[in-house]
Amino acid sequence: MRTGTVVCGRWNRNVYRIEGVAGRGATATVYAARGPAGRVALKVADDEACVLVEADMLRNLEARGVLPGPFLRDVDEADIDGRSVLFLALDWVDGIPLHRFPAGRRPAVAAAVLTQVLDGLERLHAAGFVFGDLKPANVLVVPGSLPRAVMIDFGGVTPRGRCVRAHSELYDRAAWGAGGRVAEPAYDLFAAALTFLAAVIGEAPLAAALARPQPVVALCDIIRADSRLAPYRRVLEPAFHGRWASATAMGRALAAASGAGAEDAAAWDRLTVGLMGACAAAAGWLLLVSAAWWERL
Amino acid sequence: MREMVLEQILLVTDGCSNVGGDPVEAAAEARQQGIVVNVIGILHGQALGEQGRREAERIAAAGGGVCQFVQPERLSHTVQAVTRQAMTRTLHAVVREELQTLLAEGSVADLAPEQRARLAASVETWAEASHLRVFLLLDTSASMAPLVSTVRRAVRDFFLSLAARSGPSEVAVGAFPGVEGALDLLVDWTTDGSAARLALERPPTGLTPTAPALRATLAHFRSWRILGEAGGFVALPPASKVSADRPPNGGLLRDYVF
Ligand SMILES: Nc1ncnc2c1ncn2[C@@H]1O[C@H](COP(=O)(O)OP(=O)(O)OP(=O)(O)O)[C@@H](O)[C@H]1O
Repeated sequence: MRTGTVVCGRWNRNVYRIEGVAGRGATATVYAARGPAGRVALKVADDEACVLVEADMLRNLEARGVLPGPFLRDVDEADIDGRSVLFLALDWVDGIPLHRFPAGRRPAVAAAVLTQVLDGLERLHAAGFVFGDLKPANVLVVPGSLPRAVMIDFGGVTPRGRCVRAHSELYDRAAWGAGGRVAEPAYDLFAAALTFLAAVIGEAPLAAALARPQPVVALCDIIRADSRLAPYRRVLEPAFHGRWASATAMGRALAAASGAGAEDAAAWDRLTVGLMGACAAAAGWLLLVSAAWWERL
Repeated sequence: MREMVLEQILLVTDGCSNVGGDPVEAAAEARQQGIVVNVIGILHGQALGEQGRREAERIAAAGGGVCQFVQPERLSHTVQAVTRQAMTRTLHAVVREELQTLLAEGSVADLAPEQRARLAASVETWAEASHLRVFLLLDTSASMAPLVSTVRRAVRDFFLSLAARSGPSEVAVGAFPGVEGALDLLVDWTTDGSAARLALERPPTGLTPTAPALRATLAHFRSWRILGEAGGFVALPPASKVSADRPPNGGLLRDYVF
């Protein structure tokens, strides 16, 4: 669908004007669109059964009050190119996917995002669900003095104990040989740890580690080799081994590590300020000396 | 009442059959025996031409299954998606029949999207708890040789997903053409294939005997059925995987009819 296309819902009679493509996934294409109540993300289904189940899940989570948003505003069908297609209208989130958010490469910022993700996971887990398809592309960051993290794509949300509905290989603990694909909190916590790591160091080193014969060992080696990640080792490694009992427990360890990380950063900053001061003093002194020398000539 | 078992053949190929008769007829025979035939056509090089595409679509249509064409890197995802789609499609058909006998008129398509969403969720719950039996039928003719590692990964990944289902599942894997016959059985019916070795490297041949391979697969299904009944045991995998609180199918049906 091109910009300007108008989509009319057959059942609820809402009209949406397409403003652009927001993203393309495995089960649907998401458009930015303007509807009767403002901007929405219009999720147009390729795999109808899959998107219908996602809609049902969103309604279910909303009713239980575990969904912080984006909310599902409309489910309808429309004729597009002579074909009847199913679509969802979700609140538009004006954010940047974590993997394209430049500040996310700073461990302290990625940790702030992870904290919020863990909060969201805890609420979901407490209600008996697992998020499933957690990865940087499904975490939008709304920039600000305190960046806000919003999880999108609830197509992977699965009742506990079943097979996870949707996964992405790089963030799937089963692919890493670190557990099964059964929906349980530890499944999400593994993906959460990897999401943090991918935000800081990028996906390429992770893909390289996944190709190794003992991928989780390779992963731990990456963390040990990077001094910026040192404070977070005690948060990430237990997640890779499925040892956190809950998102809250992991969150507490993260808070402690972020405190330590911030102190490290502060110490580092003091050091830089000190060094820069010393340099400036030395330069000034040199200038003075050379000026005096010129005078003498 | 016997528990419902969803039986599927998943044919993974990159070309057209060229020996041994019409695979579309073989797929129709499978369907008559209650076995759904799905097809994944892998797109790489020139292997799958217009003719190959048409044949793949016709096999799936005759076999009552799903047909998808994918790039090699999407294979893992597609194996799972196609299996799931075929399961829900079969169960939706059961629901439709059930509805037809309950309501004189009206069909699922007349339901509003919000109601269909509830129906889809119920069917998915049902599918997840159902007994699933899948035969992966892999084309290993010469043109598939460069894809061996891709196919192996996709099969492994499929095993991982099946192991996580709450319902019982069995898989078998066959490769064709066989070294001697139409089909070589690589993995016999198993509930956990994660440790199985997949000998996909095979002597190169340009032959693609899809129809005989499909028939050999059907024979393998039959031998299992006969064995299961004559041997007096119910063909069920470990009880631990069958969740105790699984709702009876009737209960699920009732959920959305009323
Ligand atoms: N509410 C939203 N607000 C803004 N952008 C969104 C929203 N929902 C989705 N998007 C954009 O659309 C893209 C695809 O959406 P989504 O992940 O929901 O689709 P999907 O088909 O489920 O994809 P996947 O293959 O990841 O499962 C996202 O990466 C994001 O960039």
